[in-house]
Amino acid sequence: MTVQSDLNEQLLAQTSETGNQDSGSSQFVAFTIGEQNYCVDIMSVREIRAWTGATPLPNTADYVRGVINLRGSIVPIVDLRTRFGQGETDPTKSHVVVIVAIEERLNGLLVDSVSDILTVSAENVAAIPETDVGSRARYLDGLITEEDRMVALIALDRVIDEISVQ
Amino acid sequence: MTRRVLTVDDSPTIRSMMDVILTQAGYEVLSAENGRDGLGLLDVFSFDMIITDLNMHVMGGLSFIRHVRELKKYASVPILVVTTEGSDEIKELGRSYGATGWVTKPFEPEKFLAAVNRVCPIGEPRAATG
Amino acid sequence: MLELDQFRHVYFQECEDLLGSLEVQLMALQEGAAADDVIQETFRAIHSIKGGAGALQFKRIGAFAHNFEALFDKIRSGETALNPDLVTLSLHAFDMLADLIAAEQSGAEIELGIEDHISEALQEAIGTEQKSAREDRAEAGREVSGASEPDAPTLYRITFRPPTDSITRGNEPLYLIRALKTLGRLSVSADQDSLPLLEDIDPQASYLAWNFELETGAGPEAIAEMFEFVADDSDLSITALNESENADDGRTASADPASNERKSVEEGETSEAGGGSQGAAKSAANPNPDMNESNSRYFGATSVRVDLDRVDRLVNMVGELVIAYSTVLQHVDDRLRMTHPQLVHELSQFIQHTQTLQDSVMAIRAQPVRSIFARMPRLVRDLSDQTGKRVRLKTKGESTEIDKTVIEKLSDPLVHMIRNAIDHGIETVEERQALGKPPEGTITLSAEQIGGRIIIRVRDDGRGIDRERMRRVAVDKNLIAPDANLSDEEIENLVFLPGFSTARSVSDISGRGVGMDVVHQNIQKLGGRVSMRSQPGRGSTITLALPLTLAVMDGMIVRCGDFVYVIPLANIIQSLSPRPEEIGTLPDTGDVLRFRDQYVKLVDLNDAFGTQSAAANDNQLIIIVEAEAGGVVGIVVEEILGQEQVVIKSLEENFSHVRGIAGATIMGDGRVALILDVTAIGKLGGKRPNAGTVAEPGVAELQEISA
Repeated sequence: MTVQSDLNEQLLAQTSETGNQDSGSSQFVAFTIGEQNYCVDIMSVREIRAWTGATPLPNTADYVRGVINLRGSIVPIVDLRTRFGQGETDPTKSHVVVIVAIEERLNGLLVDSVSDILTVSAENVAAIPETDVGSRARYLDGLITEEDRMVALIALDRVIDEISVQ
Repeated sequence: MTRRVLTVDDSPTIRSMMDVILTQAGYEVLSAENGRDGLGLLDVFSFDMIITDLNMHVMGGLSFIRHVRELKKYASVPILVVTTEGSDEIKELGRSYGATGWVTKPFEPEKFLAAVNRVCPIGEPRAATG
Repeated sequence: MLELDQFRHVYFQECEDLLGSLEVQLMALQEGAAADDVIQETFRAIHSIKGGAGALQFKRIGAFAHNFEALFDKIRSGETALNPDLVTLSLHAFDMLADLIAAEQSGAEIELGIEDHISEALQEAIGTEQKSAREDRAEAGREVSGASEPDAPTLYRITFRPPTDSITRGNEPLYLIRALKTLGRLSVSADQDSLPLLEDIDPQASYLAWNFELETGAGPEAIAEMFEFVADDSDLSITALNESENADDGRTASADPASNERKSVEEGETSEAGGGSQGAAKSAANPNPDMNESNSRYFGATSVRVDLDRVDRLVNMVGELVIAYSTVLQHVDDRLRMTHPQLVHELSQFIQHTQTLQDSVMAIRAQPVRSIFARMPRLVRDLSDQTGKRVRLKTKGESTEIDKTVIEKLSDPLVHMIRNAIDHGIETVEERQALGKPPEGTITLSAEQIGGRIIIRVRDDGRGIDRERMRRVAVDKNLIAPDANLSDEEIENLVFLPGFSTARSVSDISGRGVGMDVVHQNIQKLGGRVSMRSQPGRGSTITLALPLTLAVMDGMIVRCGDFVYVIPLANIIQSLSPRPEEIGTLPDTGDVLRFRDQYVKLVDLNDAFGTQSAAANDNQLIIIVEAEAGGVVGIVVEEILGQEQVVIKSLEENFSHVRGIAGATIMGDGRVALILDVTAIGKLGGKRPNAGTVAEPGVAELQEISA
């Protein structure tokens, strides 16, 4: 998938340059779920893969789609749409899994598509407005305005953390 | 042919160092913190050499050596005591209780192994004694 | 040189313990308890700290501890009396010592000389001046003289007569001579003058003397060092001859034991004549050629230290290789065999090599069980002391090797089993004597490898299992039906059921019932099995059968609906396709199958996991598995896909534990299959005649239902 490999290359290139925090701006990988835009800190993203199915895990929460084989490691896939209470994704080959790492643990986020990589300076990340209700708000760390769209910054540790607790 | 060594010392640091030096040279090492535990291991396993400190809890090194020499199986096993350089009294004391020789602290692997090699070389067929 | 950094952790841990103990002792002293053992303990602790510091070359700590130790040496010998001032000084010294150690550990800088005032106070109390500095200089001096200048090769004549009791003291002259040979070129002759007649010879005594000619550049000190253990008791002379001759003048070899020694000393050397000129040439180029060789000879080099991470990675990679060749195998079908016979043949060669590689790599992580066996004698001794029984431990097969990952998990079960044997098996000294048994009981711990498994046995010669009592207890605790018909073996294995505790001894060790069910669970988790056999009055044997490695497992691949699962082969008793009339339904249990005189609960994986099958399937396949000790469950599947060796991957690495799932594996086609935890499955859902599935906490399912 050309888009995917392009993005993976960009990922590699970006993360090997000077780290995020030094220059006062950070980089994020942006993706979409339905009409909405989200992003995660680039430093947690390990790679981006096309959806090729997952083995369902019994006795787990509804947002855990299952597990995949990532070069020998068993990695759980989280349907972010379900996580945000917006129903189930019906994934096809064109859907994307963003592999992220939190403290050595790998997880895959199932999203509709990945858009691009954003570079944003710290002051441009706004707080979540109090009026944003719904389960979504718990999992967000901030809002970024990029050109004409609003991209919500996901708090990965909160999204993933609860998953491990069964 | 593998040689198994029993090291007895109440300091985990010293036991560790001896273990590393001996294992890297191809010896097999089991260790105990004091003479009593050492005797326990001697009862269950067979050893080709013993290296012991003298200053230990529960059963000191000299008692330990004496007990070992009383065991038929170990009447003539090489026993080295751990001493510090220049401590002739310890060398003498050890020998008077039946020790074969000594190794000195701080450990230099070459000197350590040279001493060990003189009483329990590795890889040589066992000399035809007792 | 020995890398000292690797010992820092051990040392600082030791210091932590010693400082803790030291503090306690000093507090006691402060409160006026000046008992001998308190002082002795104090001395010991400081002495050990000093010893380690010396070994690791922490000069500041060592020097400071030296004075501190010296003070308590004088106190314990009575030369100096302990008084409140000295106690106060000791407390200050303790603080200083702790600070110095902490600084060394963290790498922080402590101002040089900050300890001086305490050191001086200590020295004043001892009554010595600059003792440590003097010793340091003396030591340095000794070190310098120890390293001898390489001389030009010199010929030495050495005569050596060891004491008669040399061998009984552990000084084997043969080894000494071999060691001497490493210094240079050696020729030997033996002097048999003192050899008595054959019938008078004591094989443990040394009667021979030797004359050596040694050509070496190592110098007389190095030669003397060789003899240092025996020098005092032996006749020894070392004389340098002035010319460097070829030691080639054919010493007479005497026909007796000495000649064997002479021959073996020369073994490996080329003939004197040939080697002579080479030797000379070599010595000219490098004054100590033999010295270098000889040093490397000390290091047996039979082992290499490798980072465990690297080994684990290697094992993982080989695991991937296993998956890869499984994939390849999938494509080899009869048609391929016909169209490309040569290819198929080469392929099977390739796969065989891969399997050999796999075995070898798995063996890298294999360690002898000795390391855990070695902890047992102490346990046995402690337990005998605690229970007042006399027990000895014998071990066999301690060099049997198991994968490192399995070994670490074996330790606890072994401890439990030995406790159990001592607690319930071995009788008291009086009881044994009354029975005509030796007063000391014996526990034999053995390990051997049989057919791809490691078999570990714990055998005791105690009272064995009272089967009647076992049965009664099991019935009382509702673990079996009152009229259940159990074989002797089945009764003996009741001990592994959860909830079974026959704690009748008073010792606190077994207060919790020793936990044989825990042993059973742990071993099952490792993919192994435990069983018990016993002879009343004679003893019992617990047998553990473990797989050689945790990384790879033989599994049966099954399908239920759209999902593929792996059932560990080790747990499978039988698979069968029952006739409909063999399946019945019980009100509380759900579907059951009549199997060998029992009714076995059936578990449908769809029900257990809340999944659905695409199509209803009447032709059910049942896999009978051993769920817990003696407990049997039938897993209902739709298709058996085959049997494979699979690489076990953990779910917990990136996720968490899932009930009913023991792990995952990657199939030949790259997809993930889940490995069933058969014990947990047994507890999850049974098929209900009507809607709703509920987990039934099942234990032993050995029930006979009258028709």
